[in-house]
Amino acid sequence: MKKQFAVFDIDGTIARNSLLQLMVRELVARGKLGIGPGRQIEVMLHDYRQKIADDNFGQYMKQAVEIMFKALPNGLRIDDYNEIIDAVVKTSLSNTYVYTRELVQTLKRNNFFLIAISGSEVKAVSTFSRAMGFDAWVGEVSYVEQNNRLTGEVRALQQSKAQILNTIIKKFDLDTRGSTAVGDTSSDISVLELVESPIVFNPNQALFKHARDKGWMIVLERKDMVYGMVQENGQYILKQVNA
Amino acid sequence: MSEKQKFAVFDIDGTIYRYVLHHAVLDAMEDEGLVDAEYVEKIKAKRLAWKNREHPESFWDFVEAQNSYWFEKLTEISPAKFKQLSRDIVERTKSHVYVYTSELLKKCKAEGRFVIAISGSAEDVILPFTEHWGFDLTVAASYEIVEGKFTGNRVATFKDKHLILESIVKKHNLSWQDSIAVGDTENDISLLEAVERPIAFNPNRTFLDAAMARGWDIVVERKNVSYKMVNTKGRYVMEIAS
Repeated sequence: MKKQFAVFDIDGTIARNSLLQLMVRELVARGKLGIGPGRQIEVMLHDYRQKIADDNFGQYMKQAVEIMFKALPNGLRIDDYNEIIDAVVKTSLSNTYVYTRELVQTLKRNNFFLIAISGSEVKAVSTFSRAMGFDAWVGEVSYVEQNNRLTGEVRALQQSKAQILNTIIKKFDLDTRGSTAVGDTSSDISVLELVESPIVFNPNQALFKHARDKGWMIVLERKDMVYGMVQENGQYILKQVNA
Repeated sequence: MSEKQKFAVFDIDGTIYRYVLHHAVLDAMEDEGLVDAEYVEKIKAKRLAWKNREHPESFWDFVEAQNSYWFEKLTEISPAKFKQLSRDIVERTKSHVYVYTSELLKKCKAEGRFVIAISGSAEDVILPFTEHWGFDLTVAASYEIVEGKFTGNRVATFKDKHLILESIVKKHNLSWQDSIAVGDTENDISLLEAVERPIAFNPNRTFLDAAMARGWDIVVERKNVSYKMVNTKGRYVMEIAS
């Protein structure tokens, strides 16, 4: 019998902070990255979060990564990088949203095949997903390695999240019936479109508008209160509130 | 006979400002090494517990720790330094506000309402902030200073806000008609109970329970999308989201 699946984005959906942001902080804390560029990146990623109808998170991430590598003139040793990933994931795992982390656990208990598809870097995504009990994961960005160092070159997968998901569905022979996906920005739209029960979590404006037009469920988490809103006759009704 | 002026009253921390102004100053004091090492250690654990959302009370736990330090060490803290840091913080972060409430504030001003701020944070940090945002009247915590030092005596303004509001309304001859109040925690319950149009904004659990029990409008803002939920025939319906 085919297994049911659930797909999750990571940054902003499960993890409260982006893995990149945590990575930058860790680099600064270890004295590998100057406070100047560190702060610059922090501001850039923070400003993105405050922008109203932004679709272009990818752009900001890309710029931020460029600044980061530019400020690491000798690149970064792989060993150091691996240590940093471990520290970042550890912090990230204790900084998760209540709603999504509990949903992951519930789905796991109910034998769902858990997939993480993230715009973040492969190693971080892999370490995080593995620790959370996911069955498959894809990080869309990878940092090129040579002679035991990160060269500063960044490679991005030229595939949409939907294409990635379809590949996984085929590879593991998964059932789309009863499938669910959770995302928080417009880059998750293509995946949300593919599943039976899409869930939009703390959406940005662009995703919110799309969800509203499609009648998708919206979940908000603020000050640890979780609000579940479902569309009925074109209106969103508050169905559930949890602490 | 001229019509009485309408008003709107806002809490500041967590309602308009995205953090707690008083705590932002305490954080700045910590950055500048103006607090003792013992406090730093004690607060680090509590701040981490809050960041990790270890338990439902972790925020209040952290807040309480900062507050107890403040009150314990008040007489040792330089009022001049506190005032200077307060101004710096406001200068740097005055635009770190929520979209929904800051827009509502502008709308209230445009409507000719008398706009009031009632905050439990210190005057030194609240006044520059509310002045920038064009409030007509601000009431915040005041700390007695004698010969350049805090004496420890203060006027607390974080609770019984409705009493503060009532005296303001009387003194300025304002109208209760169509009155608006916005807050985010249980300290604002009495304020919202006093007006005709109460709005619970990004409520914490206790405040949300009170708001839902009374059928108050609830607005939640996340990633700059604000969701207004209105009690309609026993259910909460999303009225607008912008």
